[in-house]
Amino acid sequence: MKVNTIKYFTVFQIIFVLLNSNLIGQTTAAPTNYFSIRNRLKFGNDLFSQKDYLRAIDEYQAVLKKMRSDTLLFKIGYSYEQMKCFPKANSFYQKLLNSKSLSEIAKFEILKTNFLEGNYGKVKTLHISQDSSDNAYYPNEAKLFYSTYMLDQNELPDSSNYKLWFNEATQSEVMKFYRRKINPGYKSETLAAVLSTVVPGLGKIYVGETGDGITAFLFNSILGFLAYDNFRAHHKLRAWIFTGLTALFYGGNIYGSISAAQIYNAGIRFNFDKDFKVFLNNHNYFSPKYYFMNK
Amino acid sequence: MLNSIKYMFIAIVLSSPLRVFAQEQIDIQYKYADSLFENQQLFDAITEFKRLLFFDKEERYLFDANSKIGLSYKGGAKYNNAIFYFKKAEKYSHSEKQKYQTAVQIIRVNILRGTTERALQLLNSLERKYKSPTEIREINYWRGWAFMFADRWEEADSSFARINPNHPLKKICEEVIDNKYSVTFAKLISYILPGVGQFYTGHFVSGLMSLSWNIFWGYLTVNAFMNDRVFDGMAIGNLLWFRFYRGNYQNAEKFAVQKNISIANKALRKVQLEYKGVKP
Repeated sequence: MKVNTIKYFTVFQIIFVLLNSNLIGQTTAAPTNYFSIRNRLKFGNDLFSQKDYLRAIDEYQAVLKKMRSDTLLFKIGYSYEQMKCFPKANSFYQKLLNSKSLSEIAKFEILKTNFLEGNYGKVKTLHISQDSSDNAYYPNEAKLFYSTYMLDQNELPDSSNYKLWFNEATQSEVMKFYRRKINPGYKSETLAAVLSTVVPGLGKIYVGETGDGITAFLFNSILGFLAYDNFRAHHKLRAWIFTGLTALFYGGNIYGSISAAQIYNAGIRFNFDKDFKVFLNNHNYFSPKYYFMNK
Repeated sequence: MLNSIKYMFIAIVLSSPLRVFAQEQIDIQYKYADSLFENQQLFDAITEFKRLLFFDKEERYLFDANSKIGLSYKGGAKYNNAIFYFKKAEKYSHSEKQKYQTAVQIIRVNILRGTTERALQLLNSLERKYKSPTEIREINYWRGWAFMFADRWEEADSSFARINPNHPLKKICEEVIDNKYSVTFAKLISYILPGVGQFYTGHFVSGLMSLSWNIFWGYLTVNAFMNDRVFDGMAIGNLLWFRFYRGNYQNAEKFAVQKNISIANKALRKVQLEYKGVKP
């Protein structure tokens, strides 16, 4: 009985000591355990997946102090990009230009961040300097390159060059934008001014502001008539007041027609840019899918 | 055999600290996050509470951590995020009291966010569920705040009156109600005599100008009709006199509305700076 007792006791002592030592190890290392590189990386990835990019960056930066990781550099760049801090995102992508696995993706993202920032000239320079043969993402870049022409005032390239890069489903959408860009349906400011000079309010009607056009016509006619009527009745002071008012309204009608044409044209440009950006956003700016980011 | 069971029991008792120690790790993290929260380092507090939630496999701190994250986001004026985390805390609350407190926090954030209609809806549903005098007092209190932020001072006044007829916030509501201008009255007196609505709201120069223009164009219109120049009269009356007459009462209305906004903002600023009670 005594031998048995000693035997059981020894076995449980061993188990206890083993468990306890492991446990004490955990306890004493407890606060640092959460902050180990592995755990910070895991936590950072969790934050990244929750789109809490600012905190994810902090965790990744802490990991990068201990080890080099191109994936993390890319994810930091991507996080900054998502927070619309494009120059910062760019600086992280730049660090990957010599990376074996991520240099091509980094080149595309540099181009994309420049595009998102509105540096269309820089996008063109970057794309032209690329060699199509050694870049797997060249087609993605080409789509963005040609898209810059849709958003700036440079002459559009030939449509066949443009649609070449898109698949059939997207081609028809792109060509609709292309046609809208070529024939935006602007109204001529000069014509609006001339029409309003000949018939007050006609320039506004030409621009599509029919109500304003009719009002301008009525105002000018009535004031002109009042001026004439007062001259006829020899009420000189009133006649000159109404003449002044007629001149004012007549000048205003011409200037208003030019302004209306300018506003109309700005509206067309604004709506085109907005619609095209929505289209780009729906296609995620032609970015490839980065499966490595989910690991 | 009996002995072996005894020793096994002893061994289990001795090894029970395993769970305690593992739990200590989480407790330490909670205390660390909480100390950041107490020191108002809200960004870091959120990070550490989120870290706690990530590693808290036993889910002991689901309520506390989510609740504190909500409070931190609220402190940083990230109201949408605050509501998101308060809702999570509400889901993981351990008692009715916790559920009630979190619901109140959501209402307070809605008041701060300016979504007062939502706050009032939530208060109504809370009132249907919680009936104790303390809870009803608190519900009326936040209802008063929601009405104040919604610029509905009469209703705010009656909400505070339900708590206490001498409630300090009720007095502020009464002041606002007394000081506010009647928009309808301002407009009405301007219909009767142009410029008087502006005088009523304290815009004397504007009132004088309005009165003068209306007299001038009115004179010209009447004069034209008296001299049988009907077309002149109609043109001046319609294009000039009527334009200034309409401008006069529209102006009076605009001034009254502007003055009321300024009075309400002043009162809200006063509440923010001088009122010592709980604020949203």
